[in-house]
Amino acid sequence: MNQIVIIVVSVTAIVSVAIALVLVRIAKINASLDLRRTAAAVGKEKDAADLSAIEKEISEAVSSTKDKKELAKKLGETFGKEIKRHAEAVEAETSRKYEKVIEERKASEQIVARRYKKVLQDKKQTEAIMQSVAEGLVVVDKKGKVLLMNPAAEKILDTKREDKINKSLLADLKDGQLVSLAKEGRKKDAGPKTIEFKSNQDETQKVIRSSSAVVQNENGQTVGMVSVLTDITKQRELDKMKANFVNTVTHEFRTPIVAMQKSILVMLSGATGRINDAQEKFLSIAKRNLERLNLLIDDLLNLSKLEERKMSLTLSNCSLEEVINDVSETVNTWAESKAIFIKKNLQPDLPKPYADPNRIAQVMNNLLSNAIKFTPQKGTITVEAKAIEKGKMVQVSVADSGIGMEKGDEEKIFDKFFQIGERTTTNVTGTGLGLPITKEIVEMHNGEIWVESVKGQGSTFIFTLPVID
Amino acid sequence: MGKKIRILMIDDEEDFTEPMSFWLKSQDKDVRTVTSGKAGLEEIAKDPPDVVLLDIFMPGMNGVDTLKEIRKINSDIPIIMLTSAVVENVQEAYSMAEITKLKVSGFFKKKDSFEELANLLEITLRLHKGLEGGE
Repeated sequence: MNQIVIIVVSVTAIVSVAIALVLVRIAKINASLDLRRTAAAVGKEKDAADLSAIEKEISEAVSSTKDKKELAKKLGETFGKEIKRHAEAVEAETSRKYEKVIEERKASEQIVARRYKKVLQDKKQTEAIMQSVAEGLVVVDKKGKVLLMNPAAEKILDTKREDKINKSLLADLKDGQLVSLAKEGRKKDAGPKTIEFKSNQDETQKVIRSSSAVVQNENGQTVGMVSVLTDITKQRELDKMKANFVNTVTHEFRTPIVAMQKSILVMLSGATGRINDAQEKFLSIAKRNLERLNLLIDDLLNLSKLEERKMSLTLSNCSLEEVINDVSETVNTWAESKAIFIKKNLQPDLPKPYADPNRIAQVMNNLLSNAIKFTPQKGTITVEAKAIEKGKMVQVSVADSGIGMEKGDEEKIFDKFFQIGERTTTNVTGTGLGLPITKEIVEMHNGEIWVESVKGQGSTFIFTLPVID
Repeated sequence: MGKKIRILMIDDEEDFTEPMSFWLKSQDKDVRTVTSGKAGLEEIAKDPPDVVLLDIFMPGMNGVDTLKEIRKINSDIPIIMLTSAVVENVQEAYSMAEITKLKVSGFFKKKDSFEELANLLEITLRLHKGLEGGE
């Protein structure tokens, strides 16, 4: 029995020692591992060599395992604290930065929110303006699709905004509804255009004036177009009525005059029987005055159209030489019958004014006719044309050697129905409207007209016309 | 040749057609006058004249419509349009284009003289012998 006890105790002792040694060994390994870990954690990139150097030093400094353990523990703690402190610092820093970012972000968002609010307000304001404007407003993008449309435009185009947004303005128009559309000029012509189309509701035709402007962004690129639409249907109707009225009135005047004239002519022709001298004389007076009436109506019609600017000018680069020569030829026979010589003094290479040749011919005809009328036998008429103001204007003058006019009449002569002095009675003397009409025509061309005259010696009528390139 | 030229005048203005008719008769022409386009059509259908004088501006069926109807039943009878020469008359100006298409031999301005009328008639009838009238 004692032998077994001795063996057990011995074995236990040996095993204990072995375990202790192993534990020490483990502890030692752990310690050195701790060191390494610690060193690494602190972030210092030390070589393994360095680590083992530390180990070695520590090992030399510390003799016992217990001390080593203690040292390792202390080192570990210290390093641990350092790491923790560092980590906390980094965390704090990161956290602070993060908060700052958050705040900046919030601030930006607030700015954005404010701006958005302002934009909304502006948009509302624009919409309010668009809603209340009486004219139709339509904004289209580059492709012609509708972006914005106000109620007035809806009404004018007989359509609903919802139906048109993002569609081409002219889409959905039934065949035959669009009567005419002046094509959008490629030249971005900003002049007003006229569109006629049949409205959806009633079968009436509407006439719309459209005035457009391109919309550019800050880089000067075209991004769309805004159009102002005005319903001018009523205005057009009114114009038509007015034109109709004038035409009807002139027709009404002409009809009885024609009837009278034909009746008189038929008597004068002898078809109703032989007429005696007295009958002939008085019938002739009637005939003559009917002709005057006819001319008067023509002139009145002319004048009323001019005054209402209804008479449109067909402008072109007008060759004054041609016009003057043509008109002189027409009146030549008449002039020759009075032995009056018409002299022409036209500057060579006369600039061509931008004018309506027919109307200028009318002016020349009037001035030359007046000259012939008021110049006695064997007189002279001189027509001159030259450039003035460095070629920016042309000046034409018709000078006669006739009876001239009173001082002070130079302005009145352009008044309607003003006629000078004695009139020869056997020919149709005119209506008193020739010069007012002439004046209207010249002024419609942005020119000027005036007269210089000396009583008993003659008059010179002068007018200017601008030359536009 | 003794055959008189037969003229049909279609115009609602009797104070105009009376002197016209009188003078034409004094020139040895045979003249019938009616005061509406409708009556004119009937006459042409029944007994066509040698030449028609047709007023443009008439109430009811106006000159242009009458012209169209005449051309439907008679495509080459010479027709001279009578105009009061209100060139600015929108209605008349509008019709000019249509009128030209419908073969018209000429236009007589009512304010022109009888001599000019005679001239126009002569030219028209001369041209018409063997030719289509109008442009």
